[in-house]
Amino acid sequence: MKQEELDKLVERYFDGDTTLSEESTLRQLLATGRYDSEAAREAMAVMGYTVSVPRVGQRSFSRRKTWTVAASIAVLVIAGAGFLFMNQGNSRSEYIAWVNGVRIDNPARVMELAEKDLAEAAEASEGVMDETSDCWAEIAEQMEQLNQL
Amino acid sequence: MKRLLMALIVGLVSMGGLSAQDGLRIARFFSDSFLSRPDVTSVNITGDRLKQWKCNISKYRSISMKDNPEEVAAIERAVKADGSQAEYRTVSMNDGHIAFGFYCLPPIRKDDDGKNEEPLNRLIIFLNGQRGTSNTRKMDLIYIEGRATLEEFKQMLRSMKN
Repeated sequence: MKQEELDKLVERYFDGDTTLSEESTLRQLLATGRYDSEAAREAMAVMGYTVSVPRVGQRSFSRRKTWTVAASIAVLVIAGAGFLFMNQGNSRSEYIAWVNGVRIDNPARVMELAEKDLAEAAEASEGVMDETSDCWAEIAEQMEQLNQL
Repeated sequence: MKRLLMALIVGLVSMGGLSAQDGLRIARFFSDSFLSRPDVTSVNITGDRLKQWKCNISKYRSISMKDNPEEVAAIERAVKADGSQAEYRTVSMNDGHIAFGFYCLPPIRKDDDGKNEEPLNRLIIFLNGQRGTSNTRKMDLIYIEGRATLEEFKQMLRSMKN
C-alpha cells in the first residue's frame, strides 16, 4: 500500500469508519515499519507500536544472530563428528612410544618396547603366578570334596 | 542459546575423550603430559599388530620410571586402589611394597567406540624393584584391555618369557 493510501486509512481509523478487518490490515502494515508520516506515527502511538515495532536494523541483526548460532552449531557438530571419526581411526591403529622425551612412532620399534616390558613382567611373575594358581586349584578341589560329603 | 552451545561443546569433548581406562586411578599416569616426560618411558599401542601376541587384546599401554620413589609411591597407591576391585589378583610384596602385582578388573560392557556390548576385560600389571644385576630400581605399570579371558592373558604373559 502506498503512503497516501495508508494515511487515508489512518484518517478513517481515527474517524471510527474502519472495519475490524481494515484495522487488522492497518496494524499489519504499520508493523512492517515501512511507513513514515505524521498520520502513521500517530496511529502507531495509539496502537502501541512505538515500543513493539522492530526497526529494520534490529530485525536484520536478529536474523544474523540466528544464522550465526545455527552456523556455530553446524560447525561444532561437523568438528565433533570429525574428531570422533579421527579418534576412532586412531583407536584402531596407534603405535607411539616416548623414550627420554623422544617420540617413537615406528610400529615395529614400539612393539619391541612393549614386548621387553612384558618379558620383564613375565620374569617377575615366575613363581608368583603359578604358585597362586596351584593354591587356588587346591582350594577349589578341597571345596568340591567338601560339597560332595 | 549459550547454554545449549556450552552443553554441545562439553558433550563433544567428553565423547571424544571417553575410554575404558577412565574411572581408574591409574588413568592420570597415562595422560599425554606424563607420557612425554623425559624421565618416563611410555608405550601406547592400539592396532592390528597386537594380534601377533595371539591374544585378543585391543589396547596396550605402559609407563616405566627409574629411581623416582615419590612418584612410584603415588603410582603404587593408585594401583592398590584400582586393584582392590579386581576379580582376580596375584601380588607379591617386598618391604611392605608391591614387587609384582597382576590384577584382572571386572569387565566393562562398552568399548571405546561405544558400539560393542561384549565384555571388555582390563588388566593391570605393576612391577617395582631392582632388575638384574644393576642397583637401579625400576617401576613398570602396564595396562591392557581386550576380550581375552584371564587364562588367555596369563598364557600371553607366559609366552613373553625370554
